Amino acid sequence: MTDAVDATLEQFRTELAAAPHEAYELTLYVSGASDLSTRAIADARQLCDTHLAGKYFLSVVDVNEDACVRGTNGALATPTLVKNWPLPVHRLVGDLSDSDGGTTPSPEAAKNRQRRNGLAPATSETGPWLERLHGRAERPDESRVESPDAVDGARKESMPSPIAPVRTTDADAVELFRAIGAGEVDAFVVSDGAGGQQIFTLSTADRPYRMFVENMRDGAATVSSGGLILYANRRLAEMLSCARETIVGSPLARWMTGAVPTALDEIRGPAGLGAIVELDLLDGDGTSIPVRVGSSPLDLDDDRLICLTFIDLSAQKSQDREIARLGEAQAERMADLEVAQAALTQQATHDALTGLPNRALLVDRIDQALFRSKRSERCTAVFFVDLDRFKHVNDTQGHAAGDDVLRSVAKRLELLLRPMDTVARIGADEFVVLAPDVDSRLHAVDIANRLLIELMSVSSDPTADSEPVAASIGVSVSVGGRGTAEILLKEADMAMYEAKSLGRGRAEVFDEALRGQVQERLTAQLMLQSALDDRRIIAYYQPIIDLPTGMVAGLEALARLVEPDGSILPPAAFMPVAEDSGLVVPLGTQMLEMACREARRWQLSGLTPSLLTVAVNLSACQFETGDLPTLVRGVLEDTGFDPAKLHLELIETAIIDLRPDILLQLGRLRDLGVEIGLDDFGTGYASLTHLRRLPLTFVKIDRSFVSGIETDHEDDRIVSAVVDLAANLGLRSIAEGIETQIQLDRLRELGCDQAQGYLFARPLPPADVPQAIQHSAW
Amino acid sequence: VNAANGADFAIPQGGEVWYLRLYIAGQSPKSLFAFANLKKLCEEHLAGRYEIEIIDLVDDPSFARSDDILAVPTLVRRLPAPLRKIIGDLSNTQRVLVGLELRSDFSP
Repeated sequence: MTDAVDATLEQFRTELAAAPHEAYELTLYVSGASDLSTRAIADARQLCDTHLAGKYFLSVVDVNEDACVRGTNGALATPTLVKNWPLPVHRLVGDLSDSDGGTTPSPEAAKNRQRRNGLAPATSETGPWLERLHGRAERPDESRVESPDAVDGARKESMPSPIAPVRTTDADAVELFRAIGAGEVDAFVVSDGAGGQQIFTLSTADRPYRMFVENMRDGAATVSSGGLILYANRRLAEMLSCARETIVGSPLARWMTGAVPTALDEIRGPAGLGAIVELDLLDGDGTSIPVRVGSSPLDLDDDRLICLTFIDLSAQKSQDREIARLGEAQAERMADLEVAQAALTQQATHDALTGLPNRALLVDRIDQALFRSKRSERCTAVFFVDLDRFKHVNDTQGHAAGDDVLRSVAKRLELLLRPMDTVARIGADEFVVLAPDVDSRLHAVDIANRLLIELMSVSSDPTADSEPVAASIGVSVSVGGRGTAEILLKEADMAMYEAKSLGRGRAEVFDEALRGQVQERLTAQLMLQSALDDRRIIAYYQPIIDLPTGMVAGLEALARLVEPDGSILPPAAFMPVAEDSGLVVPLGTQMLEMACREARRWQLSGLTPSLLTVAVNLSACQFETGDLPTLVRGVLEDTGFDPAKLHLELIETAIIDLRPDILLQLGRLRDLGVEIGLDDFGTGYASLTHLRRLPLTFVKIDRSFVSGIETDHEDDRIVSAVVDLAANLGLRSIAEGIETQIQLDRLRELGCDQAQGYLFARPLPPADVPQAIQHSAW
Repeated sequence: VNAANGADFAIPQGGEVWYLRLYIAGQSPKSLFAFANLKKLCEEHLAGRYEIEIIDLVDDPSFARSDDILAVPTLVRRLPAPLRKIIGDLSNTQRVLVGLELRSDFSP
């Protein structure tokens, strides 16, 4: 035998001797039914019988049958005799036949033994070691021996010889081995050989880990498969606000809320792999604690345990709640922003009054429609709708009524159209309808007519029998996506103007002929504009003769356009354009300034009588600025011209509506001292009401009547009636267009106050005025 | 006294207090397991009339001698007499019940 084996054998013997009154549990590992195995079994039995009679269990394990068992006791070679109990475990490796040989324990070993167990050796130390061992072994304490149970007895009887000769003599031992075998024990009480005891726990080796678990910042627990808490660390006890004694041994479910069984299953995890779940623990005070539970199932000796860790989420949860709260607040703010943004978008793309798309959105939609119809022969139609009587409604019934009209027009248009169509409001009373997909120009005209009919039913006051608002519509059509939104809108606008000029309440489609007309008008407009810019609009003056005296009483200023080549154009050449384009407003202002300035100059220079008046024509458009009186007063102040000498002539048709705002402005003009008269009286619709309500000082009898005096009895009677009427109303009557002496005589006969015409003088350039006045006497 | 072959084992009576002593070694898993199992078992079968004394042999191993404790955990039934000893973590409830003579239907 090697020295190493000797040493092991000695230790083994010593250990056997150390606690002689204990029951021994020995395992002999052999390998197959070899001679060596047979001999080892025999030797081991003899060894035990000799020295441990009646107080040992010897099991024989054939490692060939189950190689795994070899590992359990560290039996690396066979035969190996392992002393499992009492502790510590010892292994005796090799042939046991030599063990009964002459090897003797050292005197030191014997003394040690003696010191440890306090027993004197019963046999000589030099004797065979098994003999000595046997000699010291105490008889089992009969009082403590409980009779072997029937089961063990029966097993013994039937047990075949070489395997597991288990005998029991001590109930404690039986119980102990059962417990050891079942893995229910993890610490042992070992005699320390000096009458004292020592505890060997399996925990010694894993103390660092236990310390670690014990001092963890998170809760930790070991739970049995039945859900009992077997261990809880300090932190868990803190979390649950309970003493550890209360926690250990209690079911885990006691500390949980909600669907506990499910939670437990979740904790165990599928296939025992462990899981991480979040749940609420319930502490001793019933307060719920949110925790994240981590688990790792352990399989220890067929005993399923679950190791759990509990991370307290209270702080995190409250943080989460705070974050969620902030998030909600943020979301609220974002929602507000979105609403505001949507409102802004709506505002930027829609008309506030009607809710219809505005010009910007319309242009975008038209461009989209054009793009979509490219490479097809489909038509895109744009309808420019201008309400004919909107201004009237606004002026006579107020803005609220006007707004109502706009809203009901918007509604009508929307109802009439297809979903793909767009109705937009792009100006005060201007609507545009976009029909992106029409078959033809004819189709577009059909749509326009339907729009006209529909709008005929819109009136400013549905309850009253008021006139319909009516509209003029200009249509432009693009085939195959040609053109742009701006071009289409411009063309539709032009067509609309054409429709208006052709008598309102109708639709016109833009075409090349119309383009030509429009082009012409545009050219004329440009021409007029440049004439205004260059101050090439000048006043010619026609004398007005006081019939009773035959003296020049005043001058009527008449506009002339001086072309760049010096030729002079009469009003008929540019006034229609001026009226259409609105240029009549600056033109009228220039005329007013010019007339006042020149007349004043003539007065100051003594060239004309100081009583001489100047008449200037007013266009209805000039009232649209809303503050004509202020303009007139400014001009009078600038030029120093006497207001009483300024006569403003209104074209009869301009005031047909008797609009309150115009009446107001006329009143203020009259307050300035300015005289106001009605031009072309008799040709329009002026009634006696007009004559009475307007702050007039004179009426001008239209030239058509005057020229008929000689030949047409009817005209003579009309002129006579007008002169009488004027006289009765306190108005001065002025006859226009007198060309013959007969006409003059007749007018004098009728009592007409004043007259003007070629008979006296044509309209004169300013330079000729003074001389003409001085030398005239009719 | 044999637990296994006595048909007339002690059935705990109404007011009878059971005095149990559990030997453990610190907080070894089996000790804790035994304690947990014991508590559960007592609550189920001896509710309100049991006392458990825990003896931690880590604190003083010499206490092992008083009941001849060999291994931990070990449960000792001190009262009612006779003394019973069960070694292990008490996880085999059936066996523990029989060992403590709390139940008769133990069949090997």
